[in-house]
Amino acid sequence: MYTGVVVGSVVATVKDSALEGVPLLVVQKIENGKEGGLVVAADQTRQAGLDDWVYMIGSKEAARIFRVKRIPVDVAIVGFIDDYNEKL
Amino acid sequence: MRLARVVGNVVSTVKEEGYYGYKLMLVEYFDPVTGDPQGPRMIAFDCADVGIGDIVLVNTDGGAGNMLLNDDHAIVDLVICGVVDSYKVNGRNTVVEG
Amino acid sequence: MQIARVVGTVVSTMKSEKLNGLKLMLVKPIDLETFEEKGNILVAFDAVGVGEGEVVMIVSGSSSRQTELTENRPSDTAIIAVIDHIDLRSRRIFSKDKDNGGD
Repeated sequence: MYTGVVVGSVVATVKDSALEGVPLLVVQKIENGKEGGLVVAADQTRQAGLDDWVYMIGSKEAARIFRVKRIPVDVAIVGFIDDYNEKL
Repeated sequence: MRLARVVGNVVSTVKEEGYYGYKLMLVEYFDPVTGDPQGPRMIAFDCADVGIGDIVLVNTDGGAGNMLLNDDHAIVDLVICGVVDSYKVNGRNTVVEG
Repeated sequence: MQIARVVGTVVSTMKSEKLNGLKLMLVKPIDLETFEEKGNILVAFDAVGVGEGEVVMIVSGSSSRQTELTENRPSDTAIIAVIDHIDLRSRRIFSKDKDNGGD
């Protein structure tokens, strides 16, 4: 899983029916403490908002995490980071 | 699997329901030849009771992760499944300290 | 499936008991166009019995659990064959007899 900060959101009216009710957020990846690229992530927690520190899961597992038969998602927000210790 | 170094841990209260009860560690892949870190640090589930500074084996397949955690409910990508004692690459043996 | 060279081994005592008895090898994928080692070194389960320096075939993901040794084991990458030779565009790009072990 990888880390990021929520920096925006995406609104789409015409979309796959499986995406109904799933927030789509723009997340800036944080790689080794530095800002990385932007990704559009589906928010599985349905609680994420602007400036939240989150972690995401990618590929097949991103779709599986929604626990529905099919959903066209390849990045999903799965949790919030309260704190992290980077000792090395 | 990849060889990785455990560099920290992560605290998360609000998370996916299948994740409760698991320890989350911060890991970085490294090149076994040079020892240099590779790519961004990532969050992995721990099923080998590792500590910060350990050299570990990180499994990168979700299906194998379910087997390692003995849990089909937790949908995971990276799972730490072993602590490395030593590794040999291009004839050079490296014994992990500690 | 990917072609790779065995570059080393890994020893781990404290590990998931599901991995007991499996040999761990370090492999480096080979680019078929140039036949040079390319990409990150991976840890793979040895399902056939290979030696260091050999050119092998690896398989990733759930397919790596389809061998006799790795079936029902938490494997993500497995070595499934030792390569004798490879022909590409009617040219022999690799032959085990003429291989120098990557040196």
